[in-house]
Amino acid sequence: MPPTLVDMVQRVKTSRRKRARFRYPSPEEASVGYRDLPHHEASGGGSIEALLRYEPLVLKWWKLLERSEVQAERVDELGPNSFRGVHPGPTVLEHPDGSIFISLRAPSAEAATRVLEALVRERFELPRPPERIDEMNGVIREIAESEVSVSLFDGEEEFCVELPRKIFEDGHVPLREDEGFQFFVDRYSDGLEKAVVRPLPRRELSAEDWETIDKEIGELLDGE
Amino acid sequence: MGNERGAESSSLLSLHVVGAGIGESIILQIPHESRPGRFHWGVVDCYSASKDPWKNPTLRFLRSKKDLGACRLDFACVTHPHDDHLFGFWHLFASDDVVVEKFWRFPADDWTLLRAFRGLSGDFALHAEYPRLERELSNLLKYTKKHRKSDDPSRYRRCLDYNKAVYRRLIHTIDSGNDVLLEISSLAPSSKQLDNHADRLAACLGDEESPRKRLFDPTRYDREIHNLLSVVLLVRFGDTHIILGADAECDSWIDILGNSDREEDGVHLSCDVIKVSHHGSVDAFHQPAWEEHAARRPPVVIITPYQRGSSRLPDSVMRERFAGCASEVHVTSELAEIGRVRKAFKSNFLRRKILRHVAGSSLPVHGKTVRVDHMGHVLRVDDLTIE
Repeated sequence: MPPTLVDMVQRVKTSRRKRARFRYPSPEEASVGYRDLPHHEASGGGSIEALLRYEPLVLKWWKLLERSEVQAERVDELGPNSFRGVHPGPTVLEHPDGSIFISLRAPSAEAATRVLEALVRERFELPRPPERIDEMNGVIREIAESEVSVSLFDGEEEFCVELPRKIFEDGHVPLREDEGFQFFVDRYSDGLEKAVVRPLPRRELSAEDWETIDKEIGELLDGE
Repeated sequence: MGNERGAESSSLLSLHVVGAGIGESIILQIPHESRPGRFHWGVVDCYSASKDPWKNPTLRFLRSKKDLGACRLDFACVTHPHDDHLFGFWHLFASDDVVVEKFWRFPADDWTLLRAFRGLSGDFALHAEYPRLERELSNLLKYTKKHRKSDDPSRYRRCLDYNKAVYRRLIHTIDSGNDVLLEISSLAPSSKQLDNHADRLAACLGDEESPRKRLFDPTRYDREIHNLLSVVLLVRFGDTHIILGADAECDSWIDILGNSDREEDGVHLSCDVIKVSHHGSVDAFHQPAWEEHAARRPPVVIITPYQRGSSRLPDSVMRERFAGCASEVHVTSELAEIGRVRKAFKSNFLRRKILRHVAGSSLPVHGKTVRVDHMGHVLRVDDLTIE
């Protein structure tokens, strides 16, 4: 049986109209690496299509990452509103020579990278990154010998817990009362959970920020 | 929840003090002068750990007493801008089924206060809880706009928003024919405390000429300064005197006692019930004030604890001191409501940690109900539980 180019793992979930426009790349087109799908321009930038070339070597993986960054620039140029409607799942095309083409739509470069990472890991059984869960901001309340009393804020409520002192040392969070930190739990594929703290990103407010703030406060107080 | 309606006496004043480990809400249930079985209601401070109005314990309590008219509040008072007295206060105004006739609040410049909270929110590394405080205050101002714009100044009153020291500012009365059934006055803050607060808040700003152009410096900020604004209320129900101390500290009590108009006004601090100020901390204990509180007879003392990190109020030493001045000491609850597990955390790590702090997954909110008559008698103190 002659080799077929297309082995679609997951069909693009999109409207009939969009599917009609979708055209898989010819081997010649694919061999040049990555490029825009032809219909992308025709759709007036209504969606982002990233066609990325991947060869099954870990060495090449980094090239893929680089290319996803190239895509990131374009996402920014189009602006956040350019990505509307259905977000179809990724489509994986395998070439008989071992090359893989991944077509995906994502609202941002970061999202595209995450999907690509997951696809490649699944295919080559690379260890999955831990799942980040229970992300919250926290503040240190009291420091004891082995444990630190903290308040965690999930945006809605405050929870008081005690965390081991060691995780603050590992996370380079200064151990002092009223110090803020980011908290999350990394859950690994084998079920292992690891609590992680990080220093909160500081954001100094500039004079321009204060102008915006004062305007908002003025509107709230309505001239009072 | 609470007691059955049959137990409600139509001639007694009930003081429901909710405070489960952190934060406090005080609900006054005042007998109606002409309609037996109906009551006037008022709320002084409100704390809800959750931003969801349906989880607000004060609102849940009021709704449970809807048939007694609790959803129409004669007044609502927020004593000072601290999270444990303010979080969830705006729910009273945002709820369709609750009407607030009059709103009294601490005297402070909203502009500077909001700027300060926003400045602290911008520097999360120092103050992780300020984004919510700023949001809560903004919501409160937004929802009380109708009161602020009212032509009737009594509908929106900044307690003691004045330029000279005034002792015993009468802010509310309920008349019964020719007699005054209930009288509420504010004893603090004094103008000296207000000036002190304004100065200390201004010290967090830079050196620009216009205060509105100065940038806020969070490192100079001390959250305790807002205790200077604490509104202390004196509730007179016939011969029964009740003092609600909010978070007033020693300086406030010194100012109250030192006021030269006090004797002329015939005001004294002796009381039958006192909600201890600042959660029974040593900073709020002023011996001369307590001597005056107990001048007529030792009062019933209610303490709302504050159990958060290194702050464990009241401590055992202070409990003994209060016991020495009081006929009875009641603590609303030692259990921190905020520690409850209201949501299912994804990680077993956090579930285990939080469950170590609390005994169950759905804990009720605890408090105390004090019932007094108008003759200066404290008749009963009951446990209050809001499921």
